[in-house]
Amino acid sequence: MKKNRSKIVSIILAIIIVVFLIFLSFLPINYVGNIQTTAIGGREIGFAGQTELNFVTDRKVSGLLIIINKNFYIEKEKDKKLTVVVSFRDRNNQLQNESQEIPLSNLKNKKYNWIKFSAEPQSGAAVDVKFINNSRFETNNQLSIGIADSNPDPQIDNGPRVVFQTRIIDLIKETVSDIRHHYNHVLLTFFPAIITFFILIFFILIPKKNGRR
Amino acid sequence: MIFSWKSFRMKKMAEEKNNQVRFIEGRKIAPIFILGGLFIRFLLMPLSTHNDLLSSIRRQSLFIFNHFFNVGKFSEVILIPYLWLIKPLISKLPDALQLSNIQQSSVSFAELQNFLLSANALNYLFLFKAPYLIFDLLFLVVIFKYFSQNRKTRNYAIAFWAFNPLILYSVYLWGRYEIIPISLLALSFLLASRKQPVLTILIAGLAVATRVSFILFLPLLIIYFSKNYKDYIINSLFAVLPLAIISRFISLGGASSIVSSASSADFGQFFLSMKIGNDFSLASIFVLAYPVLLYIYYRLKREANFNQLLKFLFLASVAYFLFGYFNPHYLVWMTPMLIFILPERPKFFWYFILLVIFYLLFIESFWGTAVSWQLFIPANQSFFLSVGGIYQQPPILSFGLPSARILVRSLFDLSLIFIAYKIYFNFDEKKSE
Repeated sequence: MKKNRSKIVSIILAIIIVVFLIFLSFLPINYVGNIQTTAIGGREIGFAGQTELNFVTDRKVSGLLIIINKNFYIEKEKDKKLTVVVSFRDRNNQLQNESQEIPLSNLKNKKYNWIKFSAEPQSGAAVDVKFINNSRFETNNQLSIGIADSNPDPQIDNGPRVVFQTRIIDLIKETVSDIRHHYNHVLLTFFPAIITFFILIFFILIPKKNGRR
Repeated sequence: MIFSWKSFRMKKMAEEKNNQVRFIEGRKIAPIFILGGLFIRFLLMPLSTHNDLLSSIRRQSLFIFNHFFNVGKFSEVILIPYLWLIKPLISKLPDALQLSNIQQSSVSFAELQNFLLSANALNYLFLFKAPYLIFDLLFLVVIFKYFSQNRKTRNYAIAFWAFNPLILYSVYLWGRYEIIPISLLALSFLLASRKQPVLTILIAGLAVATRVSFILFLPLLIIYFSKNYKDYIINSLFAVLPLAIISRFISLGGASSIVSSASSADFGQFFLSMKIGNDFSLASIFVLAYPVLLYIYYRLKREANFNQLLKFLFLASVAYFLFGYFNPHYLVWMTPMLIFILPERPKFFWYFILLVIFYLLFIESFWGTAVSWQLFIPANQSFFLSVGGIYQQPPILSFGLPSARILVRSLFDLSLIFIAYKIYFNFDEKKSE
């Protein structure tokens, strides 16, 4: 009776773990990645200026991480805004534009700030990101963005980062499809693994002679 | 009430321990561990690599396809016959590796990416790593021979072999030949436990010929087997014999010999990395610590005790990893000692796991994703090239990489010292006698 109960508990636990893993694999996850920048624009957007950067990726992008170096008195300038314009060609070759205004008070000084946007660019097409500073500062203030070597904080490996978005299930699908389409004799390559797996399952499942495993 | 709760807990714990013992002592568990380990190996073989593997293959293939001998490492030389055997299966390799340029001996990351465009890349990677399995199985044979008396410790050792993250990382993820010297070293330790001095030292000498840094372990083995000055001289001669013969053989072929490459300044830097003092008084900590270790072992050696030898061999490797410079795939060098020590003290497995976690965190902080995520690029190039790794993720990104690197290196050193302390004081010297 006791043995049966513990068996049921372990089966329920195993089911919960499997369901949780399946649930996890369908959740969208953001991860920070490296980008290959084709060109990097100005380093400072100072007073009423603008700067831009562009990069090429065919992955789904959910935002950018940039360092802002604010050399101004925040209380006085807290209502000023930074405009970010993102443009790219989507998978249907349509030009997409997204513009957002970010209050300067929302940006953390010398820390990575996440500028959120959603982009599914066409393979090989660049994503252009334009930072526009329309603010009229009252004092002699400056705003610089940590793009490439502007180096606002030497303690942090500098440069913008792209935040990609994916799901584990999509990653697995993508990997399997990549392997199947790019390489020859895939089944033969994984044949030892497949055979070992089945022998392993066989060993786990067959009961011992006395009924105990 | 409290008393009953306590007794209930104790009863439960005893029951759990019994279940655990029954599980690990089971007759069926060993094949499950072995098959599980083989399954992971077979999966990793085609799905991951580093350009170092292709550099070795390039040097060997230059001899096979172009009859140009430029193989300086013994471990690469012994794999040449295998490559010659599978030559009909890798007929497209000269194009994939652009072997027409015979002067080039290494493969860059861009060339690795180019190689992966070849339709046969995954099959080739599997075939290139296949000979490592033979040496890996030799390791398994050593385990079966050494732990033949006790099924429980044998099963622990098999589990340690099967799911050893260091073997999986260095040998099957990187594709480095580390399994050759470490399995030879394990074989030499098995012979040492059976009191066979000449064979032990010859096999250890062979391990040194495949990985010169293993010279670190030779003095301890020589002290272990020597009773007088004559023994010291004879054992030392046996120890350097394989290296001398193989080095001469390789230099006859026209490549730079193992001895000459080992005497270069670059090789010295591996041992002299951590220093104290400055300018005039600059001294290497390893050079200070290692002779002290040898002297302590020499003084403590009242009787030839194998477990005591294992302890000091492990301490020598700890000294190297604490004070020397090492490449990401080197920590696997500890495996031949740990495979004999950990199964006797299963609790130490947890310390080992902690050590491996800090080690993996440290190597990614120092060398970047090139030694971690990017190793999987044969599986999915676009993803594993763009993924930024642990240190690119917030909040670690804001914490700053240099600070994170110092922190994880300190934790790695701390776990090394801790495991060395535990093994030195809690590993029973006389248990195996």
